[in-house]
Amino acid sequence: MIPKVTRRSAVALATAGLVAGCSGGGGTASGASKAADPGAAVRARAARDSTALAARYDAVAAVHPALAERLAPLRADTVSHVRAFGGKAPGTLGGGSAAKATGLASQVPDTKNKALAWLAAAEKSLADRRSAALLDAPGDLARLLASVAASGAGHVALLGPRQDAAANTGTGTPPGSTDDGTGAAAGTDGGTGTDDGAGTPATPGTDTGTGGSTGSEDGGV
Amino acid sequence: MSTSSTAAAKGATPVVAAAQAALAAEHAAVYGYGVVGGRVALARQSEAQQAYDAHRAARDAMARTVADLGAVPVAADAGYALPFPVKGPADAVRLAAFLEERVAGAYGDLVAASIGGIRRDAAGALRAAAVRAVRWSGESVAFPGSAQKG
Repeated sequence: MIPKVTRRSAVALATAGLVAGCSGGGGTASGASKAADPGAAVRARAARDSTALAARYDAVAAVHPALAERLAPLRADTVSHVRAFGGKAPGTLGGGSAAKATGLASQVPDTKNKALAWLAAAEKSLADRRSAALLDAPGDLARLLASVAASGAGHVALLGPRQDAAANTGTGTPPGSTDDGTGAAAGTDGGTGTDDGAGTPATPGTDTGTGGSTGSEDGGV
Repeated sequence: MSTSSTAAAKGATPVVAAAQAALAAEHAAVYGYGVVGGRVALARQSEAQQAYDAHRAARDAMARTVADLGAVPVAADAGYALPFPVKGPADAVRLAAFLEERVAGAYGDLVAASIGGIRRDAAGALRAAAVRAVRWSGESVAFPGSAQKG
């Protein structure tokens, strides 16, 4: 299943397309054209990285078929990332890329939880690398890299222990293990100052809980 | 989003306009999480509180960024229209995810418009918002902060 290859993807693809337009048409981006399109090498690298990541998803799904359904949306996102960076999308899960997956299969940990952690580690290191790479990229490419890195960080969260948010599947939520470290990871390189813990009051319930009008006031959230 | 942000953005440089928009988004998120906190299920109260605190801190950081850029930080609106009625815990979760995606979009614009430390922090804030959105919704997003452009 390939959900969500909808408006989000279309917008990002359009963005990527604009960037790609600068290179004068997707030719072999090496040497000479680098000066004309400073983002070409970064995009090519990003597309390769996401392709390799998709292969890891395939490998885990091949070794642990019970995880395939849970991983499918994440793999679909990853394929969208390949396309957004101008790469050629790898085949469908269990299809053309199955052969490639077998090469990685020997690396897949033999328990499901460890396999998920293996994917999470790959997602996180790639997101971290992109968070660094975007600093020197042209504006639109930097935005795309930031968005894809954020998507990867979200994948890390989803690859962690199941939580209430995903509770529609009946897997037990281990109590207390709500933090798989991803929140902290995403926060630390944020740098947007969690510095002033000054006077944070309890979350205000601005609406009276007395039901009735959940109406809204002036502006727009 | 908020009317004050667009007014303040008039005539500003792209980076100032994007920083003001991010600040306005944080103002709205702080307001919105007040609503979330009043409606969300008990089991997720602490998560709402953490997100509220994070957005307050991010709002203050963005206000400093705007000031450092030589502009007057936009103020919060007196009130905000919710995107949909928030009648119960499920709506509250949906609103929280909506707020995070909104904030992510503003930071995406700021990443594109800025360089250096402002860009780095904006990318980090986008990432943090995307992770919170995923935790609320339980669903992955391919391009956080890219949906509402254009």
